[in-house]
Amino acid sequence: MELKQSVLELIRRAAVDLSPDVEKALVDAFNREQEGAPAKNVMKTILENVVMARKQNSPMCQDTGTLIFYIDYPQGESEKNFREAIEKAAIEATALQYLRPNAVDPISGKNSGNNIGINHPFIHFHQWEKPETRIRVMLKGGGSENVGTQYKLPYPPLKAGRDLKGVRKLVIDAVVQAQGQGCAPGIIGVGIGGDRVASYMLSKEQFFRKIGQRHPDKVLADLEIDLCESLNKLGIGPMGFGGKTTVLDVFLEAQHRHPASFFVAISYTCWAFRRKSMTIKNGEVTYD
Amino acid sequence: MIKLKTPISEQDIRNLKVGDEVLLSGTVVTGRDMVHKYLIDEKPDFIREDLKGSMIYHCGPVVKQDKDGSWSFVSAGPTTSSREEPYQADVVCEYQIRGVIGKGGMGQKTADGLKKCGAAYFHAVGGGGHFGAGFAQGIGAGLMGEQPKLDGPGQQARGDIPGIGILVLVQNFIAQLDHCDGGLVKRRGCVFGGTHGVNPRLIEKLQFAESC
Repeated sequence: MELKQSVLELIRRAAVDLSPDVEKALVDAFNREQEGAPAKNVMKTILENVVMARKQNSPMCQDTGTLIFYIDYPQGESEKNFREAIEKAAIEATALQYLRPNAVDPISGKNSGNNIGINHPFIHFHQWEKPETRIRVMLKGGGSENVGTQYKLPYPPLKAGRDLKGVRKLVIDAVVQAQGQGCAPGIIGVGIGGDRVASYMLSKEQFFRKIGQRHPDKVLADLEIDLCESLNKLGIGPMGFGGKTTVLDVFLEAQHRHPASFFVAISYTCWAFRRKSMTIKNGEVTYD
Repeated sequence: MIKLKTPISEQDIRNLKVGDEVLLSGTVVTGRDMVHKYLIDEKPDFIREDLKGSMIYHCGPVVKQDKDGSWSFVSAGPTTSSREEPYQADVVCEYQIRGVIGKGGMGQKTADGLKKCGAAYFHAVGGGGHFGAGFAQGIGAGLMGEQPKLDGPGQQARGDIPGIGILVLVQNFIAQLDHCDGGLVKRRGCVFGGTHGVNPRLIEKLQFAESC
């Protein structure tokens, strides 16, 4: 199949449907909430919304987000070809109402109308040693992006030092600050270390992990579980109406840092956690 | 569940309590940043009738234009309300609006305006775009003008004013009432637009827990 067409299908899948791991986490959250509580009704509305969007093949949220692509490609492939295919697919997806035009020129205030602009869609390219190509996309909603944040350790207001205990305090603080405004229950990606840019990048890339997929390092895996449980004790709940589920999962990842800097970036994504992946191998396209 | 249909009386709004769930039907007007600025800067008359007793919905929907030129909503959930904080109270009072629908809650100025003029803030379910659009069976026929110029794509033009959309809710729409004593109040135990009161001691306890 033509690359543009495959990418269009990838975008469509991301906009109108959730991955099974996310939907299951939402169902679990619904089951946890008490009958008659606002949180229960919010979760019910969310689940009905997910089913309706899938059935009617239209975007589950009107904010179809910023288009962020991650491409891993073998030697010999052209980045230009990928970019062209993605731009064409984005234009077509917008015309088909899978996407809302979300690219606004910050100087003139004009919306490009087709999701194309400077660094928009944003594409992360990565050449790898495998023979296949993997294209992943994230539709990152604006409301949840606005509550993402970056700290540097030490952080005196929380008495947070340069260790995992300090990181833990920051993650809790970020979720408290976000309240329901990121469209809770959210998923939290945390990038520990790196420069400012790398720390944010790492935090966001964690969103491609499956819900419940723990970090291979036991120390980080244990902290993920601990944070998930602790954050859900905050009681912020779905949309901030109070309830048992404030986050669906927490993903941590670490990278080396400069001796003088200790950045911790925390990315938040809303419950409408739209990310999909496709792999092209021997001309065959498979979606996940 | 309380049922409200636009146009809504001031008394109906003042009878509501915080945390009430409301099933809303009727016509509401969508608008985001540019619409609010425009409503205050230009004070247009043509929209007064649509707004009176109705609600303003913070929403930038995905829309489509059909072959006959009519528009319909594809996805129409709420957007973050706090961006309209500078204008909201004045818009509510100037146009006798009875409700603001959005997500994330608003600030003190809006709370005071709502209380003074007899309106409430309704918190819809963010991300529930399809839910909103599924119940919206059309936009007021003939009201829609050209493609939007100012405030993003979802905002439809009505007459020659870009950015104002008329969403006709012919079925029910669930909104969470966010309303304390006739206005928004930030206090514990009162659901405040997505800002659930978290006990500071609990936060501290969790942050200082010795589990790692």
